[in-house]
Amino acid sequence: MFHLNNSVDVKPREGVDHQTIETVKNVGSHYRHGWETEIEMEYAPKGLNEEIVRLISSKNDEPEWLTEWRCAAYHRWTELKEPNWAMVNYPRINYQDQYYYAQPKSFEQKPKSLDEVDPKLLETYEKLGIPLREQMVLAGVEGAGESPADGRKVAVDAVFDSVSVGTTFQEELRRAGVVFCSMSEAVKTHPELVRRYLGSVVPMTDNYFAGLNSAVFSDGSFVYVPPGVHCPMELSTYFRINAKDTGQFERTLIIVDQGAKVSYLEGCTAPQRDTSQLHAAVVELVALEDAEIKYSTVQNWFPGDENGKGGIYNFVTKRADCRGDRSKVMWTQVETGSAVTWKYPSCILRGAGSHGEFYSIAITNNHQQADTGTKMIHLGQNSRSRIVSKGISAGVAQNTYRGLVSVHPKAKNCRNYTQCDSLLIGDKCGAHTVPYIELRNHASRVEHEATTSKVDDDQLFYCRQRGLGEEEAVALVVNGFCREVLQALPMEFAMEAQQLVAISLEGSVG
Amino acid sequence: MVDMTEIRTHLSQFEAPSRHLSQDGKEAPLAPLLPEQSQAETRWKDVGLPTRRDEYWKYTDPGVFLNFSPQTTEFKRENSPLFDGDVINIAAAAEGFVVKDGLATEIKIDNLSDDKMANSQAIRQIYGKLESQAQDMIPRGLAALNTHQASRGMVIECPENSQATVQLLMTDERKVSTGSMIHHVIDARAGAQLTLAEIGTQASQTNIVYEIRVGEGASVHLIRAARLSEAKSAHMCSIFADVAASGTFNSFALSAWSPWSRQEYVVRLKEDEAKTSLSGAVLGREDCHHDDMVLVIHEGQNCQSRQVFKKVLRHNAKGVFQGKILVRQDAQKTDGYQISQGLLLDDESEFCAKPELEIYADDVVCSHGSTSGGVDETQMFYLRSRGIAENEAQELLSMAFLSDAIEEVADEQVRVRLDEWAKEWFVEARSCQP
Repeated sequence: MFHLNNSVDVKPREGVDHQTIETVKNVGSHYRHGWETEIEMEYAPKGLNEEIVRLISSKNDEPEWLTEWRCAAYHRWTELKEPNWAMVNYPRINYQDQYYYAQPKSFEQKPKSLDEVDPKLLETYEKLGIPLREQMVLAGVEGAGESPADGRKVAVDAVFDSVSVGTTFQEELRRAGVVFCSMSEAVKTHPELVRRYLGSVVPMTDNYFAGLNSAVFSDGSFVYVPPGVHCPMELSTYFRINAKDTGQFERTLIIVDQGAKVSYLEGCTAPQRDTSQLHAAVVELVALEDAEIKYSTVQNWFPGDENGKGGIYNFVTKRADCRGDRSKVMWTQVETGSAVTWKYPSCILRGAGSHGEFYSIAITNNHQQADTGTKMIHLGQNSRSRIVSKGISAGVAQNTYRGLVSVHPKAKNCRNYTQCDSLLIGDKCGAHTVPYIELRNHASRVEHEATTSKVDDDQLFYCRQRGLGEEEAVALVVNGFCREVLQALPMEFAMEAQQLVAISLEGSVG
Repeated sequence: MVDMTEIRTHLSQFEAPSRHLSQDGKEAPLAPLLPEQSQAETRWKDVGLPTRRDEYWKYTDPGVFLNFSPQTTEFKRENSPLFDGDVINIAAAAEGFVVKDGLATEIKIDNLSDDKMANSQAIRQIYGKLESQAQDMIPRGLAALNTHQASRGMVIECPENSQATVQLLMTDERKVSTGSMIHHVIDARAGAQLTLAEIGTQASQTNIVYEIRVGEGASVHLIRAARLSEAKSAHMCSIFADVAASGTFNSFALSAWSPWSRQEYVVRLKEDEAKTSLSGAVLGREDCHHDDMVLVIHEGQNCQSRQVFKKVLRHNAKGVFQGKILVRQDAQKTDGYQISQGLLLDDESEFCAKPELEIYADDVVCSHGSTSGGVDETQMFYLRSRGIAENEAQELLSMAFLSDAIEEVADEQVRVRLDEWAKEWFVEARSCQP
C-alpha cells in the first residue's frame, strides 16, 4: 500500500518556502517519542480466540458477567466485517498474528501504590513529560499534593500497553466524591456503575473495531462524577504502547451525573518501529441532566517514517450520549500522529436543549492517512451542535473529513453549524470532505460550509501591504487557520498542541 | 450477482425497441441497433441495477423506479414553448424525433434508429463512451442499461462555429402503458454554440441519457423543464458531458411536477480553461422525491465549475442532493463552487445532502455550502407586518430562494418564463392543499 520511494518531490507553492516544506517533512521523521522502554514483558499467547478473551478477563479478576459479556462480544465480532468505506488504504491486518495482552512482568503482583511501581516505568512517563508524582503541572510550581490557590492540578491515569500503571490524586478526588481509576479497578469497586453503563453508548455490535475492543479491552480509565460536583482538577489519561506486535485496546467510560462537570484530557505516544501496530479503543461518555463534559485529545501516536513504514493504526470509536436535558459535551482533538486514523467522536443529543461541540485539527504528513470527523444526532428538541474541523495535508498524505448531522422529525428548533476547512501544502497530497446532512423538520436549521485552498494570496498581499515580511505574513495566516480549535483546548493541552502544530507550520512562521 | 428476473421485470415495463420485435409479435432475442450497444450489455450486467445498499442510492430508493408500473400517459397540460422566434422545433413521436420547423441548416439532427447511424462519426466517438468512462468511479447500471436498450434518441452534430437553438417538445402521443428509454448524443465541434431545451410532458416512466461532447471553445447549454401532469411517474436522467479547452457546458433543470425523479450529472473538464455551471430548481409536494447527484471532475488547469441547487419542499416531499467536486492532481488553479439548499415549508418534508470535495491539487479554491431549514422568521415577520398574507409571503420568500438557481440561466426571456412556471406551481399547490 505504501510507496517505498524516498524521493517524493514536493513542489513548493508561492508563499510556502522550502523551509516550510522541510519542517513539515520533519514532523514525521523527527518523532520525539519514538524510543522504547526496555522492560521485561509478559504476553498472552499470540492470536485471538475465546480462550484468550477468557484469559484477559481472568488476568483482571473480572466477575463472571463481564467475562460472558466479552465472550458474547467476541462471537459477534467474528460475524462482523471490517469496514472499508473510509478513504484509507492499508494492508490487510492479520488479527491472529498479534498479542492482545501485554503487561510488565513486575505487574504480576499489582503494585498497591505508585511507590511500588517499577522505577523504569516511572522513568518512561517522566521522559514523556507526564507528571506521575502528584505535582503541579505548570512549570515553576513546586511541591506535590499541596496546591497554592492559583495552581492547577491534573490527575493522571497512565496506561502502559495493557495495564494501568497508576492513577494520581485519587485521594483528593475521593474527597470531592469523584471516582477516577483504571477500568479494571472500577469493575471491582463500582461494579453496579460499570455494569449499567458499559456498552450502553457504544454497543458491542456497533462496528468491527468496537466489537474487537469489547472482547479484548484490557484497561482504560473510569470516571464517575456525582450529582452537582464540579471536578476539582483536570483528569487525564496517558496511553503508551511499548511492546512490539501488540495491540492496545483500552476502554474509557465517563459518567457525569446531574449538574456535574468534568474536563478530561487524553494523550498518546508509541515507540518508533517499522511494523504497524493496532490501536482500537472505545470511549463512552454519558452526560445526565445539566452535566458538562469536555474531552480533549492530543493524539501523537507514531505516524510511521517518511516512507510510510510502521506507525499506529488508530481505529477508535468515541461517542457521547447526552441523555439529560441541557447536558453538554465538547470534543476537541488534535490529531498529528498515527499512520492511519479512523475516528469519529460523536454526540447523541438525546436530551432537550442538549449541546454538542466538536473541534478538530488533523495534520497528515508523509504517508499518513486520516479519515476523521464527527456525528451529531439530534433527537432532543432545542439541541444545538457546532462542528469546526481543520485539516492540513502535506507530503503524500490523505486527509478526509467525514461527518453526519442528522435532525430527527421530533427534534424541533435544533441548530447545527459546521465548518470544515482544508489546507494543502504540496502538490502530492489530498484533502477531502464527505459530510452527510439529514434534516427532517422545518423548525430546525442546518448549515454546512467547507473550503479547500492553499495559503490565501489576498490575505498574504494584505499583510505584505502593511509592512509584514513574507514569512511573518504566512505565519499570521496559517496560525489563524487553526486558532478556533486551539482556543477550545484546556490550557495544559493547548501548550502541547500548539507546539505540535507549530512543528508543522514553523517554516511558514519563519 | 445480477438478478436477471428482476431486470426482466424492470425491462418489461419499457417500450420494446421497435426493431427488436419479430414479425409475429413474439419476443425476439434482442439485437442491438449499434455495435456500441452490444458492448454496453456486459457493462450493465457487470455493475447490476442499483440497490438501496449502494452508497449513492442511500437517500433514494431505486425500487420505486425499478418496480414502477407505467401508466397510460394523458396530457392535460398545454405546452407553451420556452423559446419564441428563431429556433428549431423538434417533436418527439413514437417512431423518433421529427423536425417541425426552423429546419436545421447549420446543424445536423438525426434519429438514433436511422440505419446510417451505424457509420456516424459522432456515434462512433461518443455513444456509450462517455457513459462507460463514468462507470469506474460510481456504478451507473441504469445508464448502461439505457446505452444497451435505447431505441430512440437524437444525434445532433454541430459543425465548427455553428450556432443553433433547439427546442425539443416531448409529447409522447402513443398513450400506451410503457416507459421510454431515450439516448441523445450531442457533438459540438470547436467554437460551436448550441442551446437545447427539453420541455413538454414525458412518458410516465423515462430513462434518459445525454452524452455531450463539447469541443474547444464550444458551448452547450441544456435546459430541461418538463411539465407533467400525471399523478404517478418516475423519471431518471443521466447527463454525461466532456468539455475540451475553453469549452462551456451549462445545464439547468426545473423539476416541479415529477413525483419521483433523479438526475445524475457527470461533467469532465478535460482541458484547460473549461467551464461548467450546473443548476437546478426543485419544487416538491405530495410525497415527491427529487434527487440530484452531481460529479464534476477537474482535469485541466484553470477550470471553473459552479453548482447551484435549490429545493422547496412541502407536504411530505423529500429533496436529495449529492454533489462532488473531484480535482485531479494536475488540475491546478481550479475554482470550484457548490451550494445546495433546502427550504422546508412544513414538518413532513425532508432534505438530505451529501456535498463532497475530493481534492488532489494544492493550488485550488474549492468551497461548498449547504443549508437547510424553514422560512426565515424575521423575513416572514417583515412581510406579514406589511399586510401580506401568510401563504403569499411564503410564496414570495420561496421564489426569492429559487431565484439563485434560475439566475444561472443566461437568457433573460427564458428566465422570465421559468419564473412564471414556478409561480404556476405555487398556484396549484395552493389549490390542492391537504
